[in-house]
Amino acid sequence: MQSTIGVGFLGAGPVTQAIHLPTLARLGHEFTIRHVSDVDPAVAESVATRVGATHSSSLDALLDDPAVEVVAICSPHTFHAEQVIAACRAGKSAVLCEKPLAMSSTEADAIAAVSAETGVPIVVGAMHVFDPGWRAAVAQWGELPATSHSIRSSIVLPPNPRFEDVATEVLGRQPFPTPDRSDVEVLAAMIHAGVMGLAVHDLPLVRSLLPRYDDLRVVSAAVLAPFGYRILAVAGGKSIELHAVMSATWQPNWVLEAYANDVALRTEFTPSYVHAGSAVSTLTTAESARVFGPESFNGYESEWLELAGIVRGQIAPPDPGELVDDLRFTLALADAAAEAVRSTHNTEAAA
Amino acid sequence: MNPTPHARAALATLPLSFPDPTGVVIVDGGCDWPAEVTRALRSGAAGVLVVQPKPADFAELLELDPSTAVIVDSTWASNPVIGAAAQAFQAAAADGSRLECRVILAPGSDFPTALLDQLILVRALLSPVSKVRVQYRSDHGFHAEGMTDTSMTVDLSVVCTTAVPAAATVRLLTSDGSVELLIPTGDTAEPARLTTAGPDGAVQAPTQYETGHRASLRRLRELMASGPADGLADLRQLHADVLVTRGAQRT
Ligand SMILES: NC(=O)c1ccc[n+]([C@@H]2O[C@H](COP(=O)([O-])OP(=O)(O)OC[C@H]3O[C@@H](n4cnc5c(N)ncnc54)[C@H](O)[C@@H]3O)[C@@H](O)[C@H]2O)c1
Repeated sequence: MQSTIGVGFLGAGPVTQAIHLPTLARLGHEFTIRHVSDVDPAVAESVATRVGATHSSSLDALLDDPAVEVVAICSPHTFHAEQVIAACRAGKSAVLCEKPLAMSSTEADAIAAVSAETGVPIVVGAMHVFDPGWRAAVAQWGELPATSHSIRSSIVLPPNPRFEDVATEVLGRQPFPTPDRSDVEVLAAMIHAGVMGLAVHDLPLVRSLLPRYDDLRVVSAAVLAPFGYRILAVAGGKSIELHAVMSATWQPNWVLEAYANDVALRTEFTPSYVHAGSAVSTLTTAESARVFGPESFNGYESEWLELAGIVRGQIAPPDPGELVDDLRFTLALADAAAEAVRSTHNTEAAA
Repeated sequence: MNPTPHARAALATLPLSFPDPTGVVIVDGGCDWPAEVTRALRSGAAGVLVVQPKPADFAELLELDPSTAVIVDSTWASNPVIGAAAQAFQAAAADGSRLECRVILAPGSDFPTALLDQLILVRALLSPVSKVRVQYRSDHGFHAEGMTDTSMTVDLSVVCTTAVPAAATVRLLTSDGSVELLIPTGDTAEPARLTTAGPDGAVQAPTQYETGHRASLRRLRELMASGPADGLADLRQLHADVLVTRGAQRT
């Protein structure tokens, strides 16, 4: 075996370039990038050359490369499930799949089955789950999952390039489309995409505070301008408010809050892409507040370090059942929010 | 907790404005306050302060002689930051899509009063809220959606906890910044925090260490001194907000 763990990337867009390459550059003692694959051969070649890796434009070429022990899936959402399954079947040491793990519950079932059959560990790149500022609070939050009654996630983000461009120099960026907001199906698709692409980051954290989500009900959902959403949902007897706005502001503000009668948790995350340290969590009671973080590293580093521990057999891999449940929760929210947008639109049109 | 003693204590901090404080009647808004205000007006009070009124039916009160000054001392809207905050929110309104008003209260707080206090606050900052629908309510709080007269959607929420102090947070995100306001309860002089962010940076407005009660009493003093054309103007606005609060409870 190589002394460092060999990594292969499927998809070499902004996330690979701006998030994972800089993260792995900080973790050179653990990982070496061996192979970069992208359907766009020019992108694959350029990104591979930067790190001295092999490049290709096919899934099979990457999976057949024996130097690749860990497959990192950073292609668009719709390819995640088939690529996770293929990497497991290829008998790789582990798979890191960018969020979301898949786009339907059928795909989720297929992933769970393949994971059980092959035993290949899967990690989902939901970096906040691994953020040391969040994890430290979780370790100390006591009864909060049982006693909390109100949960809120609010994400205010400047345009992604503001961070991508200081995390690296990005090649081959897709332009941001201008949607037709008069079409209700466009709005429904926008809120669905908002949940699957953005809310998804914190939904595993939200779910860890819920006793159950099979009774999930979306009370209201709205698409916000320029791009964002506001969703009010109820599950397990708790209110869940999900809010996000991406605008031209310079000021990011990414906060998760949970309230019980006697304890409040507030976690403020650093923006995606950059390495600005960990989240800071505050657990407050009427008498005092305990602050966790900031640590000098964020969830991106932690998720890769955890992967290294898993590959080396030092850390137990995440329970695939939990990952699939996170995905089911995310899909249920996305579907119900899209449906709420449709029914609000139809009610307003009828009025 | 009854805030009326705090208002009485604030009266003592305005010795020159109110050399004879006995003419000022301070009414506890938690009780049958319309009856008490009526009594005060009929018995020739110089001025009346209604402290944190709960939603009540008081249409008849508005028929009385409007020559006496009556001021509503409201939980959030009486904070001395309101003038500067209203300017900031109004300047950003054309560019903002949705106003968020979130309130933390102690468990067991009265929700209709909490909603009324939010409506008074939004009116003071931006515009009256003419329609409200309660979307979700539990023992621990509620979420409601309203619409201002200027057609801005407002998210109104209350969360009950003892973990953090009672406070109201109002936020308006714009296309390239935000206006944010945090108001602590008016019972202490802890200042509100008003922050406006735009392309050039963020500015925090100067802090003002004055309780909401004292700021309300100063307003009462001004109204008394000017010989009010309509001393019941505050109550008329309150009445409109009470009607909206009542309507929301039925949804
Ligand atoms: N963890 C985070 O902070 C974070 C942030 C943003 C996005 N993401 C996730 O990362 C993934 C990639 O995001 P992105 O912004 O780089 O996406 P992107 O669509 O801009 O780029 C994806 C790259 O994959 C390539 N590609 C397309 N189809 C492919 C296929 N079948 N096989 C291999 N490569 C293929 C494209 O040519 C492109 O270079 C998404 O799933 C997204 O949800 C994660």
